[in-house]
Amino acid sequence: MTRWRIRLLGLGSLAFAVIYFVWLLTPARAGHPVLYGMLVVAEVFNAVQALGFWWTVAGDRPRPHVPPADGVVDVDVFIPVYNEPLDVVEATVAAAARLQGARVHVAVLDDGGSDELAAMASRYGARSVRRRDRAGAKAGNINHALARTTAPFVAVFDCDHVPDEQFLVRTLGHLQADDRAAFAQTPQYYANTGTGGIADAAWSQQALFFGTIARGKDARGSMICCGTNVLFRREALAEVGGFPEGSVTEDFALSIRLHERGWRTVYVPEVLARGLGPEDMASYVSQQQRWARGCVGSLRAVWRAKLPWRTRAQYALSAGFFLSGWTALVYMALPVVRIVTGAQPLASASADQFLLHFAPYYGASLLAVAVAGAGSYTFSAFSLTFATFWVHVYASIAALAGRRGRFVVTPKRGADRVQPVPALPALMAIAVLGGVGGYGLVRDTEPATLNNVAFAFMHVTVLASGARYAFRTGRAGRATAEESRPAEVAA
Amino acid sequence: MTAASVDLAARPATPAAGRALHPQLLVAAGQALAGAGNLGFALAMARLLPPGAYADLVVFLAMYLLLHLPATSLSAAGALAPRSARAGRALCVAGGLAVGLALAGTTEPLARLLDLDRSLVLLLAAAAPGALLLGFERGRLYGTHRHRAVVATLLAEPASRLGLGAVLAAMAGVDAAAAAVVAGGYLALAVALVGGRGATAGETVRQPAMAAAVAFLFVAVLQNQDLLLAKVLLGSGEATTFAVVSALGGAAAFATATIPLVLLPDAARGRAGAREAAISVAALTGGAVLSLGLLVPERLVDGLFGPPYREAVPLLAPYLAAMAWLGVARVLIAIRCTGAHRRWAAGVVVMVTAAHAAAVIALADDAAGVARLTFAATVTLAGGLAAPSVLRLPVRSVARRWAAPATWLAALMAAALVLRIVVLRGIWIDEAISISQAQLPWSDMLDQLRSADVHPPLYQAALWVVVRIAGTGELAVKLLSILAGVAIVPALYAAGAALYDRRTGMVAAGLGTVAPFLVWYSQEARMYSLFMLFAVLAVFGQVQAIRRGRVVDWTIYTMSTAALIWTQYFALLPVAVQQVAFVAAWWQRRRDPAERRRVLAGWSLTSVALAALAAPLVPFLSDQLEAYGNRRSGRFGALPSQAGGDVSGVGEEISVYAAIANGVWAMWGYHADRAMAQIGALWPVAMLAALLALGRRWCRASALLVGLVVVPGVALLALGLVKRDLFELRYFSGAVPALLLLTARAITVPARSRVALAGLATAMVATMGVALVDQQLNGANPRRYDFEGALDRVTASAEQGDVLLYEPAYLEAVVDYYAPRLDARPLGAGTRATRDAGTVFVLATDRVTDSKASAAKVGDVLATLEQERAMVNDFRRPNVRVWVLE
Repeated sequence: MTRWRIRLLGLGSLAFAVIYFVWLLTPARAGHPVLYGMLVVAEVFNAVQALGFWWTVAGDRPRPHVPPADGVVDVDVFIPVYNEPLDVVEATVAAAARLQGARVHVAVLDDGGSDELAAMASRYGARSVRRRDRAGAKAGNINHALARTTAPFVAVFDCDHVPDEQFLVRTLGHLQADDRAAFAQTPQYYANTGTGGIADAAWSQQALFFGTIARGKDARGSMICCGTNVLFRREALAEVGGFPEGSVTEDFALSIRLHERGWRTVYVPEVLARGLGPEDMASYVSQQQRWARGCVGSLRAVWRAKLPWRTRAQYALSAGFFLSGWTALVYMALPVVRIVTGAQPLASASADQFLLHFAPYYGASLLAVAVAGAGSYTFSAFSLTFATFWVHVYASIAALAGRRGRFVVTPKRGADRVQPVPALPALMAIAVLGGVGGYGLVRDTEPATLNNVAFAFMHVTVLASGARYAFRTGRAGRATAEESRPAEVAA
Repeated sequence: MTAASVDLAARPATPAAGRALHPQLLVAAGQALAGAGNLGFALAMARLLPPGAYADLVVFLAMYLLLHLPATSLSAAGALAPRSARAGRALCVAGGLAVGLALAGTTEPLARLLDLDRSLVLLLAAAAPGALLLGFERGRLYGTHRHRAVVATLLAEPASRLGLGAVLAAMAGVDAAAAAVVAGGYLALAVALVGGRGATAGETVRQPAMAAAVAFLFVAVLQNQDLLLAKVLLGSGEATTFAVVSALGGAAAFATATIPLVLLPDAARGRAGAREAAISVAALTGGAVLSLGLLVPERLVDGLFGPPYREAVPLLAPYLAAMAWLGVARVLIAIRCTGAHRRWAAGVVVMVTAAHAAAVIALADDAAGVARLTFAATVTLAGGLAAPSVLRLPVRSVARRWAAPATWLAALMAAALVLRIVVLRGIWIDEAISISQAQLPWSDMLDQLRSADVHPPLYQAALWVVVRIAGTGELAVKLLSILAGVAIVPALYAAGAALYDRRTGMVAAGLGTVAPFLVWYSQEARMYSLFMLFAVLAVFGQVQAIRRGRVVDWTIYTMSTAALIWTQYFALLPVAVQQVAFVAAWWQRRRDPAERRRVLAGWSLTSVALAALAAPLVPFLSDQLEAYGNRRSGRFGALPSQAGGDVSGVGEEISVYAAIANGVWAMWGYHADRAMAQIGALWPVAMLAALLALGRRWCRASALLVGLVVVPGVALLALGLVKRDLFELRYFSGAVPALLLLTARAITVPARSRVALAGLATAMVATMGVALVDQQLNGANPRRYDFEGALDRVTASAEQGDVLLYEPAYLEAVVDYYAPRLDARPLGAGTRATRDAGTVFVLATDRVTDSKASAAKVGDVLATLEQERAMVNDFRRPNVRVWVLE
């Protein structure tokens, strides 16, 4: 029923999109040519993303559970660590040691060289694996451990992601049943939610991905590895030479390589590990910057990869999402330019017609996201993405300039002070939009001006909503994984 | 331990409300006598002094009252902290002397500013030293429960004014009268000092004393600033009119002024029953005075002030209502200032006072405008002060009994009633036709409805009865709509509570109280107000029937839905949504056979009942359809759509802005074309609202409401593509209450704290309130047809033999209603009849179905008439124009 509802909505949205773009792309609509061009590019980009979303989620279907085969298998459990707080790591190590369904060999891959950590690991029967340098960051750390272990399956957990005892029971069967399945990915669930902090908004973003989108990608054979809460087949990793060390999103690059070699991937949509999401604005921005730079930087690799077109399209959609900050910039600029200079992208006589064609498309698109995401995607998530538009802009410029990013570990504890700096671009945008909107109101109250002031107001509201997290301390929104109630990915 | 505290301790912990009522009644009686004395003084002065001098005296009295503004707050402080006598007296004397010296030193500029003689300003300066002290000493009397002494000091002032002032005024004019007023103040002070000697003070409660002092200071400013502003801003004629209203309103406010002061010490000590007694006395006193203003306004003004002040008559009801609300608000201040919301109370009073002053300065251009703004301010004040209790619902404690939902619903209904009658507009074309039909014999009326109307007969039948009982006066013919418009407030509460929760219900009721669309149709002698009421009741009944399935629920659903169909044929659209909701309810119970059977049984039975109840309409509808088909450009088919507004594209193809306009009308009512275009341009805010809805889970109740909004709207949009006039909100007005319920839900869901809820609800009500004021008062509102004003002016100057020509012809009913004795003919009848006429009046509306042809016809006739006559005058009223030719 739900799947048909989603497909119906997707078809409706597609129809409205066609109507809108047929209307928009008629040359008579053009107002100021440059602004019109910017609007068209932004709208086409978003339409492509929307089409990709509808196409992806149209394949959303539940994957049946596959029980593990009889007999005991060995599984190496890797927990990469780099100077994270001991108590955070300890919870993960303790839980990894309790994993059921296989003979587990827990290894703490310590790039920090901490003796205390080694002592703690030994208390749980785990071993500490160290190396002399930190080459390749997390990817290098895992590759170093791969060379020193032998189990046919390898589970990887970030040190702040506490696995459920049933993790292997729920995932191992998929790899045993399909010899060409390279990995089984599970959701990257944030347990430190429920306080209204930035982790809530970040989880809302994650929930949409690890819900209908990931299920849809799985159905289309294009699930990507997310670097944690994942069970690998060692043979597959070995065939592609381990984790790629040249990318800050090693998991994304690894997935491309695996798919290139014909390996299949599996997504198990069950929360089987509970982690910590970013607890302050700086952590969130740091995480997003890494993802954005890695994914945008991978676009070239996606283009060159020998992949089936569907898989290539799925990768392009995932990586291309991190360009959406540019469209936010365009949408914010248009009312400013209109109020200050009078120039506008569309011919003024078509304002009424614009609304007629745009409103159904806009409404249907939001409805599709709301229904497909089962309400998991919230305004807070959207506003946080919008307020960090500059991350996408910066990442794409850096990628274009060929600057290599540096792997930065996402902080596991929120700062105890406000962090206005990461929100500075959003605050500046608010100041410009607010100032120009005020100027417009003072100058005249003609409907055309009011319309653009209303657009400016809308952007200011969304930006302010996203930027507010910069003015909350991490402590205010902090909750430990143990304190949080378990949750499921929206079905 | 003081004697007073021993006395308190000896009393039962919770004395009966009657016991608390006694001092209230005693002091209120004294205050009433004092008020009567002061009124007598004002009346005497109105007759003894020439109008200009009287206006000066009124301003002097207003300034005198202004001097006593701090005194009022000091009374509040003194009532709460009577032990601080020495410090209080020193402060009051020093402050009074300083004010007196300042006044004396600025006599000249003040005299110019207030347009007063210098002698009057100097008298004010003389009064100042005693003013503050009098307030404080009276407060001490309240605080020490010396209520008889309070009465004595209250009576001392009017005694002096009447005894001394009347005589002196007759001999020496306004200065002498003012001197007597000052003397009365000092006499009252002497009585208070003597009466307070030997009193043993109660406990001092410092914190509430400060908050109360601030709040009462500003509420006194609020009470008096309109008079001063009217004097400064308006011309002398309007200022004098307002002065008369203010004098009468001041009496109403004066009557309730002591109630909070009696209450304060009792409330601070938590004496049970004191609050209820104070609220009751304030409400009853205010209501009694308002009743006088509603029932006999002419007698009050004529009898007390004389015919020269008759202009004040229409302003009396709103202003007395304002003062009644002020009385209640003051009691609420006392309650708040002795409870947990002291800062809230002080903040609300300060903000409302400032907003009132700003609004009067910015908006009021006549006495009526000032009166209405004062009314709006006092209602807002009472609402703001009541808000903390409303938001704490449900209230179970006995001490908070007065804050129970029923009490607040009663208050909202009272406010709704006042809002619906305070600015009644005249009858317009459709109403006049309805009234004309209702005056026919029963069978003739039904025949006419069959042959010349397009609506079911329920409303018309009810109006037929009302006309025979109450006549055809404006208020009488609008009575059904007004009552339905008031009844929809508790109906919205019930529906909101049933669909969601009581908070949502209360917010919905609040929105329904001020919703401009609801107010508009509550004032129109047509079926739309009843339609909206039945629509809410049907939703309520259906939800209750599905959930609990009692007989009464199914009965409410069936009867409301049947009434809905009998009120307007487009009811079939919400009824269709109801049926889908039943199907959904039945499907959702597929795993519970017993429940499924219950729903199915009720649904089946009510469907049969509905079919039976609606069946008699079928032949009626058939006759109407046949007649409609035979009619081409008949009288009713050519009526203007009343859709009014270029932005909605009336008479043209349906545009997106027409849809937006309908949405704006639903929430914020009708406005000038320009305003509608501006509001319509704000559609990106709707995009934001859609984004804000992301992540909100939809419940079935919301789905039902969305269906009730969207389905009729879309269906009539589709019909409107064929016949433009049908895409008009009033034809799917049943969607408006559903929209209000959804809005209330949208307010209560994200508001996690009471403050957030109060902020969101207040913001929404404020936008609606502003829109309501614009809708009701802005002459540029395209839906306001002031036939009443135009025809009143015509009939006032028309004489025997004069002729009125009107265009278009369908104005016949409205002309008959307002000018039944005029020789009136449609313009199409030609100008022959005017040959022997005296004056010829030509009346036309600006908005007609075929405006070009109509304008051409009017132009032709005027040109013809001007060949033999001279155009001596022409004037405009909203959407109506009249030319006078002699």
